[in-house]
Amino acid sequence: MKNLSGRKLAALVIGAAMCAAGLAAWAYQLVAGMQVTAMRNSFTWGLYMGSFEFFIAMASGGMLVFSIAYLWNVEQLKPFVKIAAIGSLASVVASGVAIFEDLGMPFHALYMLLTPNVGSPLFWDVIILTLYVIVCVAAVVLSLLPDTKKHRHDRGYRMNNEENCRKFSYIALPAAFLVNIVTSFMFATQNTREWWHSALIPVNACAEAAAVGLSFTILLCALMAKHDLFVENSDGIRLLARLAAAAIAAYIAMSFIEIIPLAWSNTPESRHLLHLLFHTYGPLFWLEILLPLIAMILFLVGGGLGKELVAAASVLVIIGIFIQRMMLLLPAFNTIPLTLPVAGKLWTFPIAVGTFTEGQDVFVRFWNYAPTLPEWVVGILPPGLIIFVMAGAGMLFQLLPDRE
Amino acid sequence: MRYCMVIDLDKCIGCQTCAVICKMHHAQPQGTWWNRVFTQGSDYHQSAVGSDGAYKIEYLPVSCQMCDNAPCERVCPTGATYKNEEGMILVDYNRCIGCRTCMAACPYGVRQFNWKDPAKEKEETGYAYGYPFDVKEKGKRLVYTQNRPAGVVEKCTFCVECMNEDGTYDTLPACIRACPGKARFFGDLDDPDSHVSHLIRTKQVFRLREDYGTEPKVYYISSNKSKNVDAGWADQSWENTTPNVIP
Amino acid sequence: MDEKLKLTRRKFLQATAAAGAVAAVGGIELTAQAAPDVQPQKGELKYVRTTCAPNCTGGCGQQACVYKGEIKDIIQASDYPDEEHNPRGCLKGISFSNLIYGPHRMKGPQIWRGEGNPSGIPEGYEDVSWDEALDYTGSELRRIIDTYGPESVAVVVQVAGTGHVCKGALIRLATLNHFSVLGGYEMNGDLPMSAPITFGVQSEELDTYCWPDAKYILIFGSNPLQTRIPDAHFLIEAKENGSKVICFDPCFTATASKADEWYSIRPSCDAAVANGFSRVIVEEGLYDADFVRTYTDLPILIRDDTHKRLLARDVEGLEVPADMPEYREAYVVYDERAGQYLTVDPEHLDLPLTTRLEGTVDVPLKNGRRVRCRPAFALMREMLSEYTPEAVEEMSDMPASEIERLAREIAMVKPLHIMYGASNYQWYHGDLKGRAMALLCALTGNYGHLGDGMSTYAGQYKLKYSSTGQWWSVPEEPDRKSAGFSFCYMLNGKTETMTCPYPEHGIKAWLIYCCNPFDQHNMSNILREQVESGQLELVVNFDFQNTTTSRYAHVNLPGVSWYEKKEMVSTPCHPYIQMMNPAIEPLYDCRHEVWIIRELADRINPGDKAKYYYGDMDPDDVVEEVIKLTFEKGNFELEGLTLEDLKKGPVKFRHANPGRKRIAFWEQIHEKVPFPPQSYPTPLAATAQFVKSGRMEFYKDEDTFIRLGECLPVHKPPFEETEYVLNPAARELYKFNYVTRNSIHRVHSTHSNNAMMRELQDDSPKVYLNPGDAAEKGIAAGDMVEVFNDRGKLLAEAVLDPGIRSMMCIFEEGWWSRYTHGTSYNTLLKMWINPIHEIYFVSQMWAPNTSWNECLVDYRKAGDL
Repeated sequence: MKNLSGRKLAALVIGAAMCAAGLAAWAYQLVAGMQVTAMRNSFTWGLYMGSFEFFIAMASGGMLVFSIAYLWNVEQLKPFVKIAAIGSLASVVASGVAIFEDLGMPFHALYMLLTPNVGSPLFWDVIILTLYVIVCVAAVVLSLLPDTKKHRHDRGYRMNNEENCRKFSYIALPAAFLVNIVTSFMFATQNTREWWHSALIPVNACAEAAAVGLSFTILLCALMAKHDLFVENSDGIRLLARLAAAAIAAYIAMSFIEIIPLAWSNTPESRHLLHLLFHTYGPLFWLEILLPLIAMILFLVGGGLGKELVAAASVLVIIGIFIQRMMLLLPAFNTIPLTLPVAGKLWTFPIAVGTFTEGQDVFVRFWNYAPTLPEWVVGILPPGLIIFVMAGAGMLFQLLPDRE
Repeated sequence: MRYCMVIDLDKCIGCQTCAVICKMHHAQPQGTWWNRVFTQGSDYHQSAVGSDGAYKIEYLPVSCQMCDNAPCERVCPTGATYKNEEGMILVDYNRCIGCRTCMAACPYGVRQFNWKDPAKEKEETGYAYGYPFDVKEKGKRLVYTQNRPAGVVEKCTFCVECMNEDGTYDTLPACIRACPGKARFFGDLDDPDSHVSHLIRTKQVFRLREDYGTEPKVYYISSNKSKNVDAGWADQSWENTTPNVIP
Repeated sequence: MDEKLKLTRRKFLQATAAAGAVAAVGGIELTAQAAPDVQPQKGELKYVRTTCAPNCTGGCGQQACVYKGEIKDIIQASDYPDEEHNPRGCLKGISFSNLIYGPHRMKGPQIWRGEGNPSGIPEGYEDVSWDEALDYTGSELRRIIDTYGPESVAVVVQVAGTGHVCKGALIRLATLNHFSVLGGYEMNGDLPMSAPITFGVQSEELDTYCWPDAKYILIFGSNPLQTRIPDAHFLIEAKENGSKVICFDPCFTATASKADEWYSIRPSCDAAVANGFSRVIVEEGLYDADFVRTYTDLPILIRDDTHKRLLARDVEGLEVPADMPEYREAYVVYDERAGQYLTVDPEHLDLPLTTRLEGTVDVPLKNGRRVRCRPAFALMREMLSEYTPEAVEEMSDMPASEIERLAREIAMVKPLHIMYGASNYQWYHGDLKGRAMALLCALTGNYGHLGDGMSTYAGQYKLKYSSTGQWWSVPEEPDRKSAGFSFCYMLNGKTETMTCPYPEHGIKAWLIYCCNPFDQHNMSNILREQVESGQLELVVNFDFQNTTTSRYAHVNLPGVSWYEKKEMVSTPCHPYIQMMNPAIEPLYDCRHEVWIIRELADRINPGDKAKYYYGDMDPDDVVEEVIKLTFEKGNFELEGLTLEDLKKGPVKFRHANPGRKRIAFWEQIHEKVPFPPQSYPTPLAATAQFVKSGRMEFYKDEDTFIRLGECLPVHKPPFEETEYVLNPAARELYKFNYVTRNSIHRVHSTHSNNAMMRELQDDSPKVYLNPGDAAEKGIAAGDMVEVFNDRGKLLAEAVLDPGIRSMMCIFEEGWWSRYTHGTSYNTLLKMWINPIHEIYFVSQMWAPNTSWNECLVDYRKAGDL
């Protein structure tokens, strides 16, 4: 408890405040209905689903660090295992909260277990998510056990625990990828949405998860480690940064691998998608590519450049991948599947938005989605939770060694 | 038995009566339409398509296509959306968690979410409409209730409230009965002697976006089929429709 | 037993599942599932058959589903004995409960108590008791009667057929008090003046289920696919039956899209096209000469000197038939076989088939002189000779290359049915166009057979029956009767040529029943000014919706809808007489109109209620009594019908011809009864004077026709005698023809506020423009556009529709001002009174008509609102 610094307390308070505001807004949303969001019938998933996807990706970081550290016995990484595991746990819980925020009828959620539809990707997503929570809890427990009073000085136990961790990594590593693969199946299986219906999406999801997960771990270290540790253990950080850079490279490559055949096919639908991608949402598209690209360069050349720069690079990746997750939704929903060729042109059958505002269109072909204020406030609950958990954990446990 | 619908576009006059009777009969809240009718190729209903004196106005009514291979049913995590013995895709409002995955999956845009509490909305506006009784299919699944709770997804049910316990209909679905153009037909696809089967056999029929593999059970008759809806994708240029932007 | 067990088990599972769900969320219960299973029974639903009767005059039987005193659902009753009429109804009718329960429903009587006069704002109206409202209205009417005379009180009921008893009750009030009755038919511009001019009838049309009986259908300026939704399928069925459908319309309409051929002709040039066809038919000898000789005035000799018909009384050796009624005149023909002049007996259609149609004759007169005459046919041929294909194309843009082919088809394929709509005849020269089409049908012998003739489906005021028990008249007191007056004069003021009596002080009070003139009528801004300035001292509004009129009325007396009362309905669209029946109790403090009107009657003249309105009898019972009386004393069409039959469902009017469907002009064509058949309820003498020859008249010889050169149905281009006279600069300033068409989403202004209709239109009034025109003005789709001329302006959203003809500007009428940013689309119009329409004044039969389409405007992109 001697680590109790002002910064952690502040983070704890901020996290708690975010959670409280988010919960209050969520309650408001439940009472007033989801009309308080900017989503409508033609655009059914927004910030919450984007957040869910994003936090799932982030949650893979901890298990990656954990399993790499123990499977290949990478000593430089072991000091980061605790913080990474807790980060994963916090993220996966945040993603679970985000998906619950998105449910119109969360009180019916139990039916996922009572009357499951085993063919539904979402059902399997919930299963894998639940399992992943267990995996993360196990990882946290495994990494924290040696720190307990009982075991702190029991060398034999520590050796044994190290072996358990190694074995556990055989579960943790695939779990980290699987949770992202299964989640992305919610999109990749939808053959009526050209933007999603791609076998590359699950693969790319893994790359994105590695990039953002590792960046998140780096950011946590940068934020929570004392400066000297960061310097002394720069090898570990550099390794993490290189791994993240590799993942970013894969992500960027795959993004273009998706787009090039799309452009090549030159169908009216693909042209429409590319129009959305490069014009309607052009700035967002370039941000989701360029921010991680800059981070990648920083990670590669500046691994030892210091805590602030590495932290900044990590933030760029986090922002970039968050945008990428939103960009999974924006062009997809504005490419309405019931599009037909009529008189030499493509024509989209309008969708009823589901609410009525005087003087406004009820039937639309395009929905300019931008989250509403209540939606943003609901949306800060998951990140608030992560901040709260990390600050709290930082106060309860020694997440990073003081000095090796 | 598999119920299906046949819509004769040659007879359809685009009057939208089917859409309105559906909305009235099923107490759909503001902004919600289980059934829509628009003019093919046009941004505004009943405004012409074409140029230089060669114009046309043809309509397309679209409600739930009751797909045999229904994407919405397959993605539903709780089985709230299911196919009954008569081949109808229905939603059990008691099981729906409001995840809206089905809405993303449905290529026809027919699924509608309850963005707010319809009962409250009607109280505010004073409107009173809709079949007032709950319908539990086979006494079990709540497939119709006058005011669906906020947060669940709904859509066309082939007027399941008109269906008897044994799967027969005494009164046909509302849109069939109300169509002033007498352009809509309903019946058993599996019965080769049914009127709908006869129509499907003898007329030029097509289904919407068969390339999605959804196997819809709504068939459209159109003597202009080759000219418009079912035309190939080659040589088509994307129409930059004016985005309907709502701030 | 097993089934029961299963059920119990299922319920148990359900309950446990629900309990689980509840437990999981900490006791929050959101769905019905956990509620006790007390399902209401289907038997609790009550179904009531009534008749939807707004001013589309479709008269569709509807079935309301009522649960606990509320209408839950409306669907077509589909109980017409002629199967092809089922189902009758449209999107508006089945969503009518939105008007019954919606926010614009009137809730109780109101009196204007604001400062000054009403001015279109809802603030200033006070909710009052019925007694207070009626006392106030009664005393105000008394004051106005005493000050200005009773004829300064005007009454309008719009379409009688939409509610014979309630509307009759108000006309009865006018009869009892000598009020002026404004003819709704001409007020709406729907009276097709070609019909009284040619046939001496108010209008004549096919019941819509006769459409499939035609083999050739010409549609001029009519859009039944949008305006006659319940009947549109008959047009499709006609095509399925092998009919050819040719549509003439400046713009590509929904109807044009279902036609075999569509021609974009210039606005108001239909007469040129019809005459082009007639010329080919005459020139090529394809006309039915026997028909022309037997039923038309074309063999009648016309004097070269006076341009009048030669009178038998003037011709040497000829006498007028002895028993000829006063409203007739006997004319002369030349019989070639007998080589002698014959008196045309106007009471018999029996001229020999050898009367001369061509050439000239010098007729010896009783005064010893000879006068050169020609048969009207010869004059017609001469007139038609100007309509060569090339000339017609020049006049109308109808392709010359198609005219001869179409003309030959028209001549050969029978039956021919011409549908002419409001876009055809709501023009200054609308009557000429109808006359030219009537000629086309006459030349080809297309009258009096199943599926032939010409029809208008705009307006539809025609009464299909008459009865000496008509309760709007008070035959027992012949000195108590109403005066006829015209809305056109009320707004326009007097004209030099008018034959209509004008109240000494003009109109000072106006009783408006189911009508929204403050939006819906030509020059609505002038009307508004009349209220604001105090010129109209009292406006009494009987309605159940808070329309714009309710904001200009001094008193609002809320009536009820057709789901809250009994009433009798008929329409010219189909052959049934039907009842309205109350599905629910009158809502709020609204009252049956019969009750309101008789209470008012008693306050104007104490004792009238008891004497003329069945005293305090329940209004629904009054309705039944009136129906009984009407049936008992009914004419041929009502013979044998009883109230009991009517209560069971729609009953069909009787008709003279054999077969299931009524055939127009059957008696004239097959029984040689002279024209006109009677137009109810006007006495025959009043309308027979329009066609004194007893024949279809294509040559008119009243002085005004001669003066204006309109003896024969010539083509006259639009605007020359109207806009360009009023303002010669309009030729350059206002080049766009402004037409206010009907929308599928409204019946005129009824349903303007229907929430579902508003959703279907993205809640915005739209103006339809030609994309090329709009581009020149820098207007893009969705832009707010200001349509304007010297008289007013309109704001609406632009739709760029390639089907809209260049230089046209189309607005879908019926929007209440509150939806068009306070502007009103009728402020752009002008009341153009055609002197031809003033030759006679028989209210709703021959009277000045509103010509909605005779209007020029310009438009521009509106600034940001």
